Amino acid sequence: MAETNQVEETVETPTVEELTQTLQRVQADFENYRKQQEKRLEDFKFIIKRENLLKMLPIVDNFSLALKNTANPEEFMKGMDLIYAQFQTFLEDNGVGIVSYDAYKPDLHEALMKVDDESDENTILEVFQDGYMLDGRVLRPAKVKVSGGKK
Amino acid sequence: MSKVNGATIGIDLGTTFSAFAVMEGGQPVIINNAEGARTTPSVVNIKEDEITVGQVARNQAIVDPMHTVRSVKRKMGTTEKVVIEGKEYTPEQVSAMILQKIKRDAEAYLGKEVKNAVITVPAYFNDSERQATKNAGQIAGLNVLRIINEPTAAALAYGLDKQDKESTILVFDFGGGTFDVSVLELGDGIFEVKSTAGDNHLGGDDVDQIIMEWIADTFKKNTGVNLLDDPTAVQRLKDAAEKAKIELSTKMKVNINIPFITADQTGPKHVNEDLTRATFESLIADVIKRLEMPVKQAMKDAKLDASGIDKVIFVGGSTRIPAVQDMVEKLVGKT
Repeated sequence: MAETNQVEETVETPTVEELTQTLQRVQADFENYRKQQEKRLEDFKFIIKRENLLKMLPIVDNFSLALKNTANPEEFMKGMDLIYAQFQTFLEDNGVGIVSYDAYKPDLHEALMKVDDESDENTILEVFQDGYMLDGRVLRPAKVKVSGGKK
Repeated sequence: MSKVNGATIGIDLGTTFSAFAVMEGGQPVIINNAEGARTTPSVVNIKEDEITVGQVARNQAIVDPMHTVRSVKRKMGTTEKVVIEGKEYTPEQVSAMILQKIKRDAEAYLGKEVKNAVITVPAYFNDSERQATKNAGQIAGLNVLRIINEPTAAALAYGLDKQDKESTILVFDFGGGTFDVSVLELGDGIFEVKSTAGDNHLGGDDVDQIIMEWIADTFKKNTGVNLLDDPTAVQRLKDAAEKAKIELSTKMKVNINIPFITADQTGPKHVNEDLTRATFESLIADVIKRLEMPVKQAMKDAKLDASGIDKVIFVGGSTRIPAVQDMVEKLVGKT
């Protein structure tokens, strides 16, 4: 016990020079860490892109096949429907879905027009362009025509 | 434990694919290779002036079989040599080429030299197979700290060594091309392999093949066209089959949609079939049967019945198939 106390007593307060050195070392470590993080972020972006593109390329392949097989319009259309379904599945798998059109909500819908109509005020009368959600957040608001109610 | 100098990586040196990881903040993290993928094909292309490893070597395997070495793991520990243009290579040397690529890619990720490695081997590997693996590491310039059994590595990844009580663990490893069952006994933080069994030629690829044949059969019934005669169609069937298999682990029904799979004088034709999980399970009933035997064998060799197994660990993508898990649960009574 006495020995331990003695050791503790002999520990000197670090000098300004020592502290400066420690600070410089920590700063250098942090700089390395920051650089590494930057590189990792770049790598990560590439990986995300790669994963998604790898899923999209077969769809592109299918379009290219479709364009070489236009002779029978009915079968061509069937094929196009299937490719469209693949695209929708790709979007769903990425957490993308169409916004709901139950009633006009400014966070989901961009109103391009408001017209007098038999329906209740703020009913969505027409969708000019679909809006999409991504993981529960708005990816792109829909462009819509909204009812102003009966005049 | 003695102090280790320099960076250390963990390597899963597989028969068809390899992977590598590093400890970050006490957690193992898989490192992506230079191509950005989590796994690296264990394929080597050896030319006098250039050695290529991984996906690029795999891409050349069919056009350049004379310079290509695959599945060299199956030769480890044997005196068999790989001969390329009259030059002999030991399995260790070829494995070292894979390890060198892994070392290089890990260094690029870490930004510093990798000096040490822990490499996993199948539990059934004998001493000479283990020594050969260690030699391969040394040829690659790695200080091989440990050779660890694959099932033990799995148990460690689940932190099972940290529990106090003794326990018996069944590791069920059903990968792309091989199937291994091991019974491990854990005591005082040390794992002992009690028994191993398996099938060296059974994997998820067999499941893909079954789905592929089912699609082709169905298509033939509907159109009279045999897709299996057309190499382009076969490749697309294979991809669609694998995708369906993966989706059927979470969904009860999948739509297999392959537009413009073929064309005849009446125009293009498409595959558009629903496959239910029930149909899928009846299709793979034989595979499930083949998985059962080694589990029974491993338990018998370890002199255990279901009550003697405390925990089951699933390894490998193919164990996500619910029918596979159900089968194990039925045999062992737990998962």
